[in-house]
Amino acid sequence: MAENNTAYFYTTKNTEKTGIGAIIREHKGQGKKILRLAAGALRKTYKGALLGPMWALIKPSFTLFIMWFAFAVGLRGSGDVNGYPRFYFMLTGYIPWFYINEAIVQGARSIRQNSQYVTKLSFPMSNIMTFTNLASLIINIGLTLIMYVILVIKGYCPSVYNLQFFFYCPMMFVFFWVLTWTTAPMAAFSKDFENLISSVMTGMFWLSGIVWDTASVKNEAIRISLYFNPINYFINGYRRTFLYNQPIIAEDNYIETIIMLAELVVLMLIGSYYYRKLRKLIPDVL
Amino acid sequence: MSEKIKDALSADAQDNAEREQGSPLSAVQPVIEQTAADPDTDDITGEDFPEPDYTAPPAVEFEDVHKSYYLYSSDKARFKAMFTNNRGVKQHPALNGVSFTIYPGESVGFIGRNGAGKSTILKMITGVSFPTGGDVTVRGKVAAMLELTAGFSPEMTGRENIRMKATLLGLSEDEIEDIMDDIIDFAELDEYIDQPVRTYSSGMKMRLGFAININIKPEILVIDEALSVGDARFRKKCRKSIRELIRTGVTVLFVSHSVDALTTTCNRAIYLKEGKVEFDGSVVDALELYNKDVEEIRRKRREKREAKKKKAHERLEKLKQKKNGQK
Repeated sequence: MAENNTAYFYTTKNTEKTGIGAIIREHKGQGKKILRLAAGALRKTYKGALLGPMWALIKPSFTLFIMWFAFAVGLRGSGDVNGYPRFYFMLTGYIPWFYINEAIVQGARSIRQNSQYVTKLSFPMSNIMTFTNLASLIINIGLTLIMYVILVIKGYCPSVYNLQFFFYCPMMFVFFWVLTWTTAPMAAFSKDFENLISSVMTGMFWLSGIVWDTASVKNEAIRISLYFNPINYFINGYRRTFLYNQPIIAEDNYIETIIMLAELVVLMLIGSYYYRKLRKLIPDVL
Repeated sequence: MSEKIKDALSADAQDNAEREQGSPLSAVQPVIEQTAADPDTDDITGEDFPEPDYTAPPAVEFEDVHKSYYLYSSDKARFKAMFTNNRGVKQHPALNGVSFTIYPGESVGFIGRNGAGKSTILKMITGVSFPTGGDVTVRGKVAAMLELTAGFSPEMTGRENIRMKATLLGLSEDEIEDIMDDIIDFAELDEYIDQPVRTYSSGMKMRLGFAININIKPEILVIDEALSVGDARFRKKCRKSIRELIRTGVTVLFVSHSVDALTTTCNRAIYLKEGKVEFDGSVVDALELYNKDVEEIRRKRREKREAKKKKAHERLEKLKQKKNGQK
């Protein structure tokens, strides 16, 4: 009976004073459930299609194919970047970008899109952001594998530095997951915020070094200010891992690393504040 | 139970229905509940209730719970509120200090007029809404028969939806596999279970929702009066399974205006008035009190109406006199 079953105990007493504490508690022992929900989210998105979740891989692959056609066949004179053909330079930037874009846009939309979990069920709200981001990550790992095969065929890989993937990929996941602590509750609270994010992300593609190299900007002030864009950090990190064969921390990027980590801490504090503040209001306004 | 109370309540339900013009369903339901409830409720009797366990830790505990909803005047106000900590936003108090304790095995009915805070309390028990003040504690697996079709993904099959919903309710994979066949049997969906839910009729969705909720073996069962699933035969089956659950000592929280349903299903009633507990005790006493208040309100309304009529009549008389005077 009820008194023996500690798994189903719910109280509003002694709730955590910080958003971080609440999020950690909400994730305790939920690992399996979140994984299953992430798989469910993927299935749901591509349900009714014969190829199912395969479409999540086919769509970006098609974009990459067109890019290859444009840069490696059409604009042959588009030149090399850092001594690498532009297509491979862009490929290594595009793959993390696919994830970052999905994580930011879908992450912000996640609560509103899964509103029935918030308004109809007792469900830890922060898990929604986690499984949405996890679904994007699963797809991205598939894309990374495709990229890796291409790079191996072309002879840029394998190398020891490829193992840095196991630093950059989880770090990237954590960074943009923490970002959704703020964006998702805010976008659920006000639709303007959601629209703002999708608008900003369209511009971010060109502001970040996906098709051009941020390290070769001549104006020093601009080059340094680009360090503050965390998207650049991860995109260049993927290039270090798969193309440049450079270590995570080298003389030329320790400032970037420190800035990124500082930004992560700031995001955690802001996210913690907003998550705690909006958590209890969202079921009433959604 | 006196006939008078019954009549008053059914009339009140009609009044309520008239005010809620939103959905045609709500306009019809309370009336149906009144007339057709008897065959369904007959099979639940007082003997079915096991003695509540008052020594156990309470299943539901409300301690001076307050709740007020923010009323944003516009989207702009809502956007602004995100940064100003809701300063200056109008609030609507829904609960003003509600305290009660429900022990495992009790079966409690909530009565009260629209807007008394019944739904807010149920939402808090299911963990969907949070109090602005005070504390709520719930011990046990809650199954809410509030919105049965909530949370279904239309593109996924019935089977996938069962798995999904059970996952969300916190069941493990093994537990889900164990109850899967029971749910499919109960919902009577047969080969439709592997079809996408968007192809289901509303009755099929309801049946599936009910089957899931009843088969997860809840310890606390929350039932709303608007519950009407499928045809009379299926409703009977639902009643039967609810009764079986009650027998096993499950805690039942029941919201209804139906006197029959309350007297047969509950051994305790809480009467809510304007966000406060007006009365907490036996069902008969609660209904008596509720009925008295309802009478009072109806009397006032009638007086108002009569006063209006009188006024109109006087005006008419005056006009007539004027006309006569002109002649």
